[in-house]
Order: sequence, then C-alpha cells, then structure tokens
Amino acid sequence: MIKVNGLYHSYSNDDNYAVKNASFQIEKGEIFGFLGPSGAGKSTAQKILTGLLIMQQGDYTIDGKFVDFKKRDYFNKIGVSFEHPNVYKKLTGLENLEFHSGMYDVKTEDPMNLLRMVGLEEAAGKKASDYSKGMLQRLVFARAMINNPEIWFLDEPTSGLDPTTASRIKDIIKRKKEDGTTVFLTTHNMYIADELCDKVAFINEGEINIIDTPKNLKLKYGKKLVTVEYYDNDRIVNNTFSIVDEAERTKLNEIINKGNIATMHSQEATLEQIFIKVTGRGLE
Amino acid sequence: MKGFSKLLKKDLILILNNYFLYVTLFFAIFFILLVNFVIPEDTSIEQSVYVLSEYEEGNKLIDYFKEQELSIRTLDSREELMQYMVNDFNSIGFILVDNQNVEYVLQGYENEKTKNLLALNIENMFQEFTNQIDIKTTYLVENNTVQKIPFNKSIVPLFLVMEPALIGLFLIATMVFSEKEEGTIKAYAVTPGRMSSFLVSKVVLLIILGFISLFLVALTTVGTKANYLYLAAITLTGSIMGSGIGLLLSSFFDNISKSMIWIIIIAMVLSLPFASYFAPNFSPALIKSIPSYSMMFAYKEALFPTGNSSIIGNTCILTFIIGIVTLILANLNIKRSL
Repeated sequence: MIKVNGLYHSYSNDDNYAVKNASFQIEKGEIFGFLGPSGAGKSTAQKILTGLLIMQQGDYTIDGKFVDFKKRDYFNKIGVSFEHPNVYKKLTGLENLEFHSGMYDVKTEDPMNLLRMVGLEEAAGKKASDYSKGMLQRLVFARAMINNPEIWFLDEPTSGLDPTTASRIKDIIKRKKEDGTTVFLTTHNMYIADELCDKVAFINEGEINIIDTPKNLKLKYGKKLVTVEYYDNDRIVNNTFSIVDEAERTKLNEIINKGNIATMHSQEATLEQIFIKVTGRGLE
Repeated sequence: MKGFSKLLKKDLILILNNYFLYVTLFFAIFFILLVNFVIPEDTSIEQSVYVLSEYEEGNKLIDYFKEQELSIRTLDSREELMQYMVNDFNSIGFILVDNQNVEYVLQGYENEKTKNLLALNIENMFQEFTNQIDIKTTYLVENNTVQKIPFNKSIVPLFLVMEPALIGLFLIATMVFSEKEEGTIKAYAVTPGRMSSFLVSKVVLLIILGFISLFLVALTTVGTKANYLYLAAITLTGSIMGSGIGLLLSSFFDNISKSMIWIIIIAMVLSLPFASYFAPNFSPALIKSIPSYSMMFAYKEALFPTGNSSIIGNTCILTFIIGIVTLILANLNIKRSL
C-alpha cells in the first residue's frame, strides 16, 4: 500500500506552494486518479513521487517503509510515462527501448513485445524523429512498462491519441491493474478518470479537495432524476421524474410497466460537473 | 557495468547520428591538410645580400662572411649588382671599394635606424675579421641536440589543446542540453541508472573523440618521432578536464542559449595562452595559471621531445584534478536543473 502524508512543495522555496499538504493512500492493484486542471499541482506531486523533485516536506511510504530515493532500487519498481514524449529522436523506437531496458537490475520485457502491444512493431526500426505525436506518446507509454513496474505513474497517457489507439492504451492499463500493478494516473480528462480509476482525488491550486470513488462522487453530487421519452397515444412525450418523490416514482413505474419507453437516462453528474461544484473551477 | 555500456553505446550512436564524430573528423582532416600542404615550414623572411669586391683582399673578407653562414651572393660588376637588386626588392648590396671604404647600395625605403644598424654591423664584421675575436660558448647540457621545429608543425600543439579543451567542451555541453531539451535526461533519472554514470559516459565519449583526433593529426603531421604515451596521457586528462567543465556548465542551465555567454567566456579564457605560445615573452602569471597554457607546452614536449618531461607530468596532474573537481560539482548540481 502506498501512503503519502502531508506532502508540500514550493519551487521558490517560500510559502508559495505548488503542492500543499497532500495526503492520500493507494491500495495495491488500484488505479488512483489525480484529477485537476493544468497547473493544479498534479504533475508536481508525480515528480516528487518519482524522485524528479526533492521532497521538501512530507512522508512517502510503501508497505510501511519510507521511500529512499538515494537507493536506486526504488526505481526498479516504478515505471513512468511522461506527458511530453521525451525519447531520443535520433534513435529508433527499438533502440530507445533497448537502451532503457539496460538500465534496470530486474528482469525486463522484450522491447519488440512492448512495441507490438502499442502497435508500433512496424515502426520499430524507424528513427523516433519520424514518428507522429501519437506514435511518440505510445513509445513513451511502452517504455514505462519495460521493467514490469509494481507502481506505474502515468501522466495523461491518452493525450493526443485517436479514439482507437486510446482504447488500446486503456485496455493495457486495465490488464496491468488485473495483474496487480498499482497505477497513479494524473489527468485532466474526466472520461479517462471515470472509466479507469478506482479512486480519484480532485486537486486544485496544490490542494486535494476530495478523494472518493467516481461512483460515490456521482451518487453524492448527482441529481436523483430520470429523464424518460415514452409513447403516449402515438406521440412522444419527454418527462423527468424524481426517484426520491413517492408519487413521481409511482408514475415512472406505470410508464415502465406499459412498456412504451423510447429512451431513459439517469441524471447522474459527470466528474467534471462535480469538480466544478467542489472546486469552483473547470478541468480545462 | 551493463548499464554503463548501454549508456556509452547510446551516446556513441547519438554522436554518429548527430554528426559530432564527423565534425571532429572534419576539423582533424582540415588541420592535417593545412599543416602539410598550406602552412609553410619556414615563414621567416630573409634579406638577400649582394656583394662586389673591387680589390683583391676583399675576396678573403667575403669568404670569411660565408664561413659565418651568411647567405650572400658575390657579383662581378656594379651593373650586375644593380640589376640583381632592381629585380629583388628585399635586398641590400655593398661594394668593398678598398680596405678602408665600403659602399652600401640600398633600395631607398630603409630608414635612418636601419642604415645606422647596417653600418654598425659591417664595422663589427670588419673588426672580427681583422682582429679574429674568439667567442667561447659554454653549454649547460652537452650533446643537447634540440632540433628546430618547422613552423607548420609547431602549431600542432595548439590544435591538440583545442580538441578536448574547446571543441570537446562545446560538444559535451551541446549533448547535455539536447538531452535536457528533449527531456530524455528525466526519463533516465527515473531509472536505477545513476547520474554519475550518465556524466562519466560523456567523459569517455570525449576521450574517444580526443584520441581519434590525436592519433590522426599527430601521425600525419609529426609521424612516429613523437612520444605517443605522453600524448595519450595529456589527451586523457585534458579530455576529463574539458568534459568536466562542459558538464559543470550545463548543470547550471536548462538550455544552450542561456549558457552561451558562459561557453564563449570560457572558450576565450582557455584560448588566451595561445598568444604566449607564439610570443613566449608575453606570459604573465595570470595566463600561465590557465590550464591550456601548460597543456600547449606539454603537447609540444610530447610531440618534439627535448627531455623536459616534468611539464607533462605536472600538466596531467593539474588537468586531472580540475576534471575530477568539476565532475563532482556537476554531479551534485545536475539534478537541480532537470
């Protein structure tokens, strides 16, 4: 289990904190989403947990043991997929993965297998400078899997990908979760968070406002209404019923029993609507 | 070790793909061509001296001048002397009229000082000839056969200093900044690989480039007479110093444009001793304290050995210490500007 307690970070070493008193815990095999707009502090938090920024204040433990970034063994356990496609442009996709595979002291994945998984096997021998933005993103994603990480840090993993490729990447993340990988996912994309995350934390101006499962958040902040389109004497009627009010619920039951329903939607809130409600700010 | 060999392999592929190796080879080949085919071996301009003797005893004096290794040409008539001088602008002539009188023939552009100097000179030679003054010379080291270094070969040490200390410094800084701008250094920082290995790989790279350049240039300009063990030692420690300075510099900035002014300042400081190489009288303590100063003379000693090997040892120790200190500082500082 990952436990983070009282995390602070200031780039200017003063009271102007990019991350302020962030505390959360992630169970093994859980996908934990850090949801927030650009500049909210989610990437800063990820950089601290990956050792790219010095931990100025706070505790970070894994299974009760404090993480020591000076001992390089921690880095055998983590994989990091950056939002910016930071690969060697003058090397081929395969050379990039082969180079990284040589950096680990643990058993690594076959680079070609990884390229195949993300649909880059045909571009394996091409220089990364000839890759499109989406291909580079996939290469970075594949690189993050090279050491079979126990903890996987993913920063906007589907950013800039077409829907088919994004779906492929999401499937890989789900499979890794099933294999027991703990995923720390930072994103401003509410759909990704909703679809993948077991728990989400809303972060705004460096502070975590709320942590819960997407389902609980929707139940808590969504309206308990159902909108129904149904046939009434050959004409379509559109109506919204409260599922809390007894009379309206009875009427809804009658319509359902008649079997004249054309469409029916629950009026649950999206994560973005909840984010706005909680933080007073949008996700973009 | 496995990680380090992968780092080095990656850096080698990058210098091939970034054309850094070709730049090094281009400079080396350009310099070789310059030394062997463009720059003359001797750039000194000697004045021609034409002499005419109009009396019998004068010929003995001319023979004496020739014994003193003065390059003079004896002519038979005034007309011939005049003709030769008209055709050779950089010449003087004198006519031995009798044992009391000498007549100078000048081009006309000589100033008063030169004329007086010439008069004094010929007077001295007459005195030497008539009195046969014996000048005894004592040498501190017997059998010291120091050969004159041809001018074109004498500039080889400067190129060898330039490779690790100036070009190398710039190449290494460029490589690190390229990794910072692409963000690949961040991707490396989240692996178990150590930042010190990342830096040492760059040092080894510069040593390889330095050796390629050294052997290419030294073998094709000076040949096998040089002391290659010494040359390799100076290049090794010089490369450690050059890359150390380049890495330290690049650890303070996140892109090359921010560091450019410092690269230029350091390159200029390291080039200052070049002036002392051609004008040894100009070597103030400040210039002597710049490591490229002793590197130049250490390379010169290794290329054209005279037996003064202490300068090589001292230079290697100095550049090695500077290299190690700058590398340690770069290692401590580099993570601050990821």
